[in-house]
Amino acid sequence: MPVAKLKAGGSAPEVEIVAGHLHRADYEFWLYDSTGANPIEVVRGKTSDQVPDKSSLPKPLAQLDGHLLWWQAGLVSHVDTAGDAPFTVTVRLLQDGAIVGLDGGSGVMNRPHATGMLQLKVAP
Amino acid sequence: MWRRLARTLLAFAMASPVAAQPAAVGVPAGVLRSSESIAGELEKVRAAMVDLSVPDSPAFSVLGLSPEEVSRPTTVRKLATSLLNGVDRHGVLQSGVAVDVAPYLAVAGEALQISDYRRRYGVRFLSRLQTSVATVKAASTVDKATRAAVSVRATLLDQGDPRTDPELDACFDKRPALPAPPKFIVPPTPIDPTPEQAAEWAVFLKRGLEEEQKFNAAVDTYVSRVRAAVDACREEARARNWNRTSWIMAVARAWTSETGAFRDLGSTGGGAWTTFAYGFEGYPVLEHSAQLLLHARARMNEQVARPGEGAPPETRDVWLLGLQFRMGTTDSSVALEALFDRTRPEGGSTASSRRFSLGYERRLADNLWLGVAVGGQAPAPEGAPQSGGFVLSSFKWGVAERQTLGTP
Repeated sequence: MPVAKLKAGGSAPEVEIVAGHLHRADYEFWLYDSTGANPIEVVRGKTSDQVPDKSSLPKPLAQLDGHLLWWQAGLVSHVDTAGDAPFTVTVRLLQDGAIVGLDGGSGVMNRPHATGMLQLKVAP
Repeated sequence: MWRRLARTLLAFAMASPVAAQPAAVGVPAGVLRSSESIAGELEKVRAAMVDLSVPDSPAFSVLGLSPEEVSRPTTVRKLATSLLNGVDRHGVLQSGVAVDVAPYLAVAGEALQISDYRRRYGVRFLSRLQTSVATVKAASTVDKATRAAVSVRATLLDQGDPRTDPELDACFDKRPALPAPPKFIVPPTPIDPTPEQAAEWAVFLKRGLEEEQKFNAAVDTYVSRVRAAVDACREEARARNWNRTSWIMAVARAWTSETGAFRDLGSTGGGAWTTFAYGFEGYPVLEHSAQLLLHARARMNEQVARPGEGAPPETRDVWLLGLQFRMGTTDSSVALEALFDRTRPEGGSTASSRRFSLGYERRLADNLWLGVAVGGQAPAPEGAPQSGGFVLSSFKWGVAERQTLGTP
């Protein structure tokens, strides 16, 4: 499982999603505790609107250690694509403008759905 | 207004010098009387209209191909494989290659976001760029001779681009929502756990896997439901945007290698196409039902089969300029086309011709349509008497029980 290394003294982290191949992605982020339970919604949105696809996490940085950031995205193409047309989704966790965690998914438009998660570690 | 237009059109057609001089131009006397099969005549008008669009794959057109299997690589790796398949390790061209690719999407696809596409014309231009490569066995006495062509097709303007259609996005908003997230997920394996921690983790693992199974089943359902919804949205968008303003250009170049070797390829002409389509945006009725096309094309060294078995193909240069108007509503339909073409066969003299055709129909009552079909050509087709102007090769009117031209 990918790990995002956060600095305890850094700024509040932000999560960001990018969908490639000119596809639209509808996405959701959820924050689970370290046991994989008690999900809290972080953000849901779509990459085709004017709203930035970047959001802060719903807990203070000091409480994030060990938490799991889970995400899913449903892809759609505006044009007819072959079933084997590719899709790519990139998920980044940012702190102080730097990428501290990276996850993503790729596949083909026959099954236009991707999911993944990041483990958050907060260190001094 | 429409009744007046129909009357005017009929009066014009009946009173026009062309219609008034059927004997002088050799039109059979029966042509000018009411036709009982006006629906069939209007269908002919529609069917006879020249395709004034820019070909999707000009390289195939310039070689006269309609390949059944076209490779459409979407990644750099697949593109490289497709192109390498076109030439063997001895540098000999392989015939039957047909590759159609959007090069910018193949190379930079992973980084291309829909928001950038909508914001920047440059991204739209590059993303819509299409290139085609094709090879075919040449119609030559030399067994190894191979023809190859490469083309580039650029969409300079497209107001009907589904990727910029807000209504399509609104339709996508209504598709099935993402599945609910799992209640539990599997946490990472603890490092050097105590027996208590290991037992606790086993519980987390079990409940996480159970939830994962349920979630995966929900994703399967989501995928099948969303596919149908998305297809319906795209179909609606196609119907909504069919006549939007656009401008497309394409060029293709062809080569022939008498030995079949890549190094022996020599230029053998090519072609250029452009079509500007106007969609009457902002004009009530017309903006949803009409389209005006202005098309120009040039084909250099086009090879056309001659009648007779074993006859070598004729090589010629062809230029064509066309104007086409099509409109269809529930109460009326019109299809109008005017073409001007010039042909210069190899070693021959240039010949020009002009053609026009018009079909119009108007609902008079339920199951009663008034129809008019007119067609003409100048100079006269072979066998017909020559005259100074257009030859009216057909003029028919009548009533039919149904709409024939329909929505384009």
